[in-house]
Amino acid sequence: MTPLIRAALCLVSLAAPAAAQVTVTDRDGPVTFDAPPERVVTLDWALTEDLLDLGVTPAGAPELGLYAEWVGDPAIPDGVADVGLRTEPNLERIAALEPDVILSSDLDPAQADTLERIAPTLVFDAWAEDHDNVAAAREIFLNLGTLFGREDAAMARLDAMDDRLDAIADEIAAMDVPDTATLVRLNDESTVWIYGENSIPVAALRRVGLAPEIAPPANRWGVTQRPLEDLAAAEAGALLAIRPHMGGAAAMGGPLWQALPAIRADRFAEMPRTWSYGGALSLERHAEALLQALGQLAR
Amino acid sequence: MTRPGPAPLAALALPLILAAHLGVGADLGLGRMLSLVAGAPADAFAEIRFQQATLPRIAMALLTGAALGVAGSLMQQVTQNRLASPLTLGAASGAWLATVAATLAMPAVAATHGAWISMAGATGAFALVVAITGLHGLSGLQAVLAGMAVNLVFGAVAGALVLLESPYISHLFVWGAGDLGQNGWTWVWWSLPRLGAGLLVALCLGRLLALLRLGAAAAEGRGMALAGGLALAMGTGLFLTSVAVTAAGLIGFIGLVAPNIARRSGARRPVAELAASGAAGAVLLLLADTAAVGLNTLSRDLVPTGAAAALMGAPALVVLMRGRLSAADHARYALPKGPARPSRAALAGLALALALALGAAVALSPGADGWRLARPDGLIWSLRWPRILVAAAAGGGMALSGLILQRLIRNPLASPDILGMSSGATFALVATAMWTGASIFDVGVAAALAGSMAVLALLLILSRRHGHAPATVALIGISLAALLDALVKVALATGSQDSIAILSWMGGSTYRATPAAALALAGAVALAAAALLALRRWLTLVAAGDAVALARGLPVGPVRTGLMALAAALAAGVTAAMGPVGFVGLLSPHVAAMLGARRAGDQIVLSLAVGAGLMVASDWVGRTALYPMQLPAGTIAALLGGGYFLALILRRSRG
Repeated sequence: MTPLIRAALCLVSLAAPAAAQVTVTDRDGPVTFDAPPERVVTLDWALTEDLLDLGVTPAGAPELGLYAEWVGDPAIPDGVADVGLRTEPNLERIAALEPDVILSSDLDPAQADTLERIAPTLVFDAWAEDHDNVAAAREIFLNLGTLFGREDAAMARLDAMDDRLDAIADEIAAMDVPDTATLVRLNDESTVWIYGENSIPVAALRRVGLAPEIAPPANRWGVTQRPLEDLAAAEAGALLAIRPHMGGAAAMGGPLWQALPAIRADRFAEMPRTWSYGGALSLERHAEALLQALGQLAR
Repeated sequence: MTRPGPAPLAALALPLILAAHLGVGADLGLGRMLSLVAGAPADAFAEIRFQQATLPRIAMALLTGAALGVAGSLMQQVTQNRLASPLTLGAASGAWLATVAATLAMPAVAATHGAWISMAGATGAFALVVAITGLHGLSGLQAVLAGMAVNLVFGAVAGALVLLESPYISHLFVWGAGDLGQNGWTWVWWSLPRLGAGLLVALCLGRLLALLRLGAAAAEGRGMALAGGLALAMGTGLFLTSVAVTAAGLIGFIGLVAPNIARRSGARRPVAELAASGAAGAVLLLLADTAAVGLNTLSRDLVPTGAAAALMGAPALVVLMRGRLSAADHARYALPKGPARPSRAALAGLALALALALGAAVALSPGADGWRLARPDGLIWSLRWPRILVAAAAGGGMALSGLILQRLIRNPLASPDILGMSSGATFALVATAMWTGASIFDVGVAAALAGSMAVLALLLILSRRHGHAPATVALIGISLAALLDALVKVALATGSQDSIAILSWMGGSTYRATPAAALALAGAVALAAAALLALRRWLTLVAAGDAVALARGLPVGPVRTGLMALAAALAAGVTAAMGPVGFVGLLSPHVAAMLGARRAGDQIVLSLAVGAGLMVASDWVGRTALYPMQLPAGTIAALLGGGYFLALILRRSRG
C-alpha cells in the first residue's frame, strides 16, 4: 500500500458518515445511535448529576423539588421538566417530552420494555452488592460522554477530578488529623447510618488517604443502619456526620453521644450537604466535604 | 381450679429476663453494675452506656409495656371485647399517620407536641372504627375487623406521604417499627409523669368498669352517667397509647396479649385485671427487647424491638384465642340494609358512574398545557390501557374475593386483606425480594400465590379444632395479617432506597402493569366470576349456616375449602399484579347489597361492577391529581373506602 493510498483511506474513514454514529454499552450490551441524542430524559438523580456535569441539559428529570433540597450541586437549569417520582416516573409525561433516549439505572426488565415503547432506553447497572459502585459510576459517566459525543470532555473531567483528589489528599496529608475516620448520617436519637464498603463516601475517604475505622461489609447501597452505641468502636479515628441531620440532630444532645470516645476527644466534625448516592463526580464532592470537615479538626 | 396469680409469676419472671437483658446488652461485671446503679460515677464508655443507654432502655421497656398493657385492658373492659387493643382498634396506626403527616407539614410543632398530635390521630382512628361498627358493635368481632380495615387505610395514606417526601422521612421508619434504643434518660422522664398520671386514672376507674360488666342497662339503673364514664375510660386508654407510641414508636401486640394473659392467670376484678395486664405488658416487652438486643449483636442490620414483639405476640395471640373460642356457629350472614331488589334507578346510577369513571380514565388527562379531553393516540393508549384494565380486574377480583369471604365467615366486614390473604402474598413477595436481592417487581405470581395459600393452609389447620367456625377463622386470619404486616414493617425499617421501592409497591399501583399481566388477570377474574355465577347456590347456602347447608345436601367441608382457595387465589393474583389492594374487597359487596343485590347472583355481578369502577376511578385520580407525581391506585381506593364508611355513618346518625 502506497503512502498516498493509505492517506486517502484514512481521510475516507474520518469523513465517513459513521463518524456521527455513537455506540454505548448498557446492561444488555452495545447499543448504537445514528447520532448523539438531543432530547434526554433521566429517571434518577445520579444520572441527572452525570448529565449536568457533562454539560448536557436533560429535557426531563425526576423529583426536581427534592433534588434541589438534597443534591443541590450541580443545580438544575430552568426549562427541565419534572417527570415525577423516581420510583414511578410519569410515562405519559415522558412520552409528551418526545425524548431521543431515556437513561435509567437498575430498572426491572418489564419496566424497561415499557419505556422502550416511548424511546430507546439505556439501563445501567449502577448499584449492586456484588460490584464496585464507584467503578460502575465512572464507567457510566464515560458511556454518557460517548453517547453525547463528549468523550474527550468526559475523560478530561475525570482527569481533572483525579488531579483534584490528589491535591486534596496532599492537603489532608499535611494536616494534623487522625488517619482513620467513620462516616455516618444521623438517623434519629438513638440510631445511625454507617457508610461501609461499596459506598461513595468510604471510597472518597480511601482516595484521599484515610482508612475507614468502622466499615460495615458491602451491601447494595454501601450503608447500614445501626444502634448509636456502635459508634463507640470509633476509638482513634475521626467521626464525621454528613448533613442534613433532620431527626438525627436529636442524637447530638444525648449523654450517650457525649460519652462516645470520638466526641470526648473532639474528633467529631460535620460534613456539608452531599448526596451519597450520586454520579461519578460524587467522589470529588465527597472529598471536598471531607476536606472541609477534617479542616475543622486540624490542630 | 387455682392458677398461680399474675403477681408471683411476674415476680419470678422479671429478674430472670432482667438478667438476660443485661447479659446480652451490657458489657460489665455484676459488681460494677450494682455500684453504678448505686450511684458510682461512670467513666469508661461501657459504664456510661450502661447508665445512659441500657438502664433507660430497660426502664422504657417496663414503662411502655405497662402502659400498653393497661391501655389494652381498658379498651377490652370498656368494649367487653377481648380482642380490643391499641393495635386492633386502629389507634396505633392513627397515631402513626398523624405523626408522619405532622413531621412533614410542621416539623417544629411535631417535635415539641408529638404526644398531642399522636393522641389526635389515635382518637380519630378510633372514632372511625366506632363510625363503622356503631357503639354497640364495639363488643364484637366487627370492631376488630373495622380496626384492621382502618389500619390498612391509615397505613396506605402514611405510605403515600412517605413516598412523596422520601428523604425527609427515613428516620420515621425505625420509629414505625418500634424501637426502644435510648440516648439518656430524656424519654423516661418525659413518659413517666404522663404514663403515671394515665395509670393512676385507670386504677380509679374500678367501680365504673365493674358496673359495665353488669351491662349498660344495669349501670344506668344505678345512676351512672355512662357516656361520660365510658369516654373517660376510653380516653385514658387512648392517652396511654399515644404517649407510648410517641416515646417508643409502634409496638404492636403487647396491648392485645397482656390483658388476655392477665385473665388467664386468674385476674378477675376490674382493677386486678388492669394491674395484672400492666405487669404482664411490662414483662412481655422487656422479654421482646431482650431478644431484640441479642439479635442486634448478631445481625448486620438494626433489629427493632417491635419486630421481636410481633414475632412473640402473634403466635401467643393465636394460642390464647384458640383455647378460648367457643364455636359460635349459629351466626348467619346479615346483609347490610337496603332495598330487596336492585331498583332501575340504582342500576342506571351505577352504569352511569362506571361509564364516567371509564371515560375519564381513557380520555381525560392533565398535561404540560392543562387538562385535555381527547382520544389518546397510539403510544399514550398503549401506556394507558394496561393500567385501566389491571385496575378494573383487580377491583373486580378483590370484590369477588371479599364477597366469598363475607358469605363464608358470615360477616359483612370480612375481606382478603383483613384476613391475611393479601398480607400472605405481600410478605412472600417482600421476603423473596429481600432474600434473593431481586427487585420486588421481578418476584412474580408464584411467590404471591405461595404466600396466600400458606396463610390459607394455616387458617384451615389452626381453625380445624373449632370445625372452621367463622369467628375462629376470622380471628386467626386477623392475627396472621397483623403478624405479617409487622414483619413487613420490619423489612421497611432498614430505611434504604430499597425500602422506598417496597413502599411504593405496597401502595398498590397499576404503574407496572404489562399488557400480558393485565390480560391474564382480567381473564382469571372473568373465569372466577363465571364459576361463582354457576355455583351461586353454594354461596347462598354457606351464608345461611352450616346446618342449613348440610340439610340441603351441600358437602360443607370441601365446599368451604374450595371457596376459600378461590378467594385466596384471587387475592394472590391481584397482589402479584399490582401490590396489596385494601378496602375494595370489603366495600364492594357492601355497596352492592345496599343497592339491593341481596341474592348471590345479583351480588356477584354488582360487586364486580362496583369494585372495578372504584379501582378504575382510583387509578385515574392517582394518575392525575398530583401530576406529574402519581399516587398508587390502592391508596386512593382505601381513602375513598374510608370516606364511604364515614358518609354512611353520617347518614345513619342523621336518619
